[in-house]
Amino acid sequence: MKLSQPHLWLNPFKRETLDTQVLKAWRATPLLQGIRAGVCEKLVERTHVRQYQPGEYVFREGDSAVAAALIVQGNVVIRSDDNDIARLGAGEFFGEAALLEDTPRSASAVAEGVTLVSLLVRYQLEEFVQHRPQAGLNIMTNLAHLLLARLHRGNNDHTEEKNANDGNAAS
Amino acid sequence: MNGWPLRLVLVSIGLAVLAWVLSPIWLALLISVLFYLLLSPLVSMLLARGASRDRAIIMSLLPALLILVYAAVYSINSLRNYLPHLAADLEHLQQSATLALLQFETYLEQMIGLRLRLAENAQVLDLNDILQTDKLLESTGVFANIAINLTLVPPIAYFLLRDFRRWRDNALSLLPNEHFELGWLMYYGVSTRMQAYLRGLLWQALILACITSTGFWIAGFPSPILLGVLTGVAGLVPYLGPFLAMIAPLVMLLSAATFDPGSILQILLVLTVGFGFDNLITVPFLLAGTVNLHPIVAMVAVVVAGNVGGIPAMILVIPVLGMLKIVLQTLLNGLGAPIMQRE
Repeated sequence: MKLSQPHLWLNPFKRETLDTQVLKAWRATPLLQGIRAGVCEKLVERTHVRQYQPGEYVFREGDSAVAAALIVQGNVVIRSDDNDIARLGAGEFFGEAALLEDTPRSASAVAEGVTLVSLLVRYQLEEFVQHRPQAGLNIMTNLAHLLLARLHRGNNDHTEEKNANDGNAAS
Repeated sequence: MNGWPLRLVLVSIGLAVLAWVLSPIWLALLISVLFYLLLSPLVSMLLARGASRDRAIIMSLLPALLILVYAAVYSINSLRNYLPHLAADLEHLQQSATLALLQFETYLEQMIGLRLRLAENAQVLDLNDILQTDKLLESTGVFANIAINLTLVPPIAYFLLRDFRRWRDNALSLLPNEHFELGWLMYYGVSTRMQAYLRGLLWQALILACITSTGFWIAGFPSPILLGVLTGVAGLVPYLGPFLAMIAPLVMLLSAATFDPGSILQILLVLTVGFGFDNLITVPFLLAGTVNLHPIVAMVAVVVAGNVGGIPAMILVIPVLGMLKIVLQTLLNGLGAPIMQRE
C-alpha cells in the first residue's frame, strides 16, 4: 500500500483516498494510540487491504491466525458454532490475538456485504518493531492493554451471566 | 476440492522455468543471496540504531564486497599463473597415482591373491585429454562468465537488502483471500528455517576453512588457504564431506615432486581436528534442529543429488528437502481442517 501524499491539484475537493482512509482508521485503533504519525504511516504502508464478497470468510474458526484485521468499509459478522456473536462495522479492529502467537481462531469472521478489510500480519509487525524498538514497546503495551480490557469484559460478561443463572435458579 | 495440488504443480513448473532462464547468472544469484542472509541482521541492527536504509546497506555491504573483490583477483591471478603448469602436473599426478595403485595391487596380490588391474586402467586414462588443458588455457568464456557474474553481485545484493521485503509483500498479496494467512504461515516457516540453515552452513564452512587452513599451514603444505577453503566447501556436503575433503590435499600430495607417506597422516590429523570440531561444536550449536530430516533420507538424497547435479546439488538438496517438508506439512495442516468444515 502506497501512502505518499497525492498532489493537491489531483484532489481539488479534498476527497479521501482509500490509502488515507486506511491510515486514518488504523490511527484511530487502540493499537496505535500514542504512536507518532510518521511511524504509523510506515506501519500502515505494510498492511494489506483486501476485498471480501458477501458471505465470504475473512477467516474461519480453528484456522491458524497470523493477522489482525481492521474493517475499512462494510460490515463483518463474528460467528462461532453457527451463532452470530457480534456485528462489527467500519473502523473496528478484531483478531488482534494473532499479533502475539500462533493460536487457532476462536471464531469465524464473515463479510456481510462487499467489505474492505486491512490486514496487519504479525511477521511484518515483528520486522517493523525490530527497527523501531521504542515504537515497538508502545505498540506491544497498547496490545497488552487491549487484550487485558477484552479479558476483563469477558470476565464481567461471564459473572453477569452466572449471577443471572443463579438468580433464575433461586426464583 | 479447490484444485490446490494443480496450482502447486503450476507454481513448481513456473519456478523451474524461472530457474532455467536465470541459470547463466546462478553464481551471482547464489553469492547475492548468501550476502543477503549474512548481512540482513547487520542491516537491521544499524537501522535500529537510527541509520538510514541506504547507509545501513552500504555500510554492511562494502566490507563484504571488498573481500569478494580481493578473493576474486587473488584467485584469477593464481589460476593465470598456475594454468601453464597444469599439463605437467597432471602428467606427474597420473604417474604417481599409477605407481601408488601398482604398489597397492602388489600388496593385495601378496596378501589375498587378488589382482585388480587398477594401475593398467589408470595408465590408459589420459587426464590431459579429459580435461583438455590446451583448450582450457585458450578458452576465455569460463573466466568471462565468472567475471560477469561477480560484477552482478553488488547491484543484486544491494537491491535484495533494500527491496526483498517489499517484493515478498507484493508477491504474497497476490494470494487469494482464502489462502492469504496460510501463505504467510508457510512463507514464515520456510524462510526462518532456511535462513537459519543457510546461515549455519556459511558459518560452518568459514570455521572449518579457518581451522584446516591453520592446520595445513602448520604442517607445511603449499597453498594452505586454498586447501582450507576447499575443505570448508567439501564440509558443506552432509555425511560425505570428510571424504570429499581428502581429495584436494591427496591430489596435491600425489602431484608433488617427491611423495612423503607421512604427509597422509598429517592430512588425516588436520581433517580429524577440523571435522571433530565441526561435528562436536559447530553442527550441534549452529545447525541442529534447523532441518529435521531422517538421516537415511538425507544420506540417500545427498548421493542421488550428487549423481544428478554434482557438488552444488549435494549442498542444496538438504535445504530444498527441508523446505518441501515444511510446505507439505503446512498445506496438510492448513488445508485439511477447512476442507472438512466446508463439507
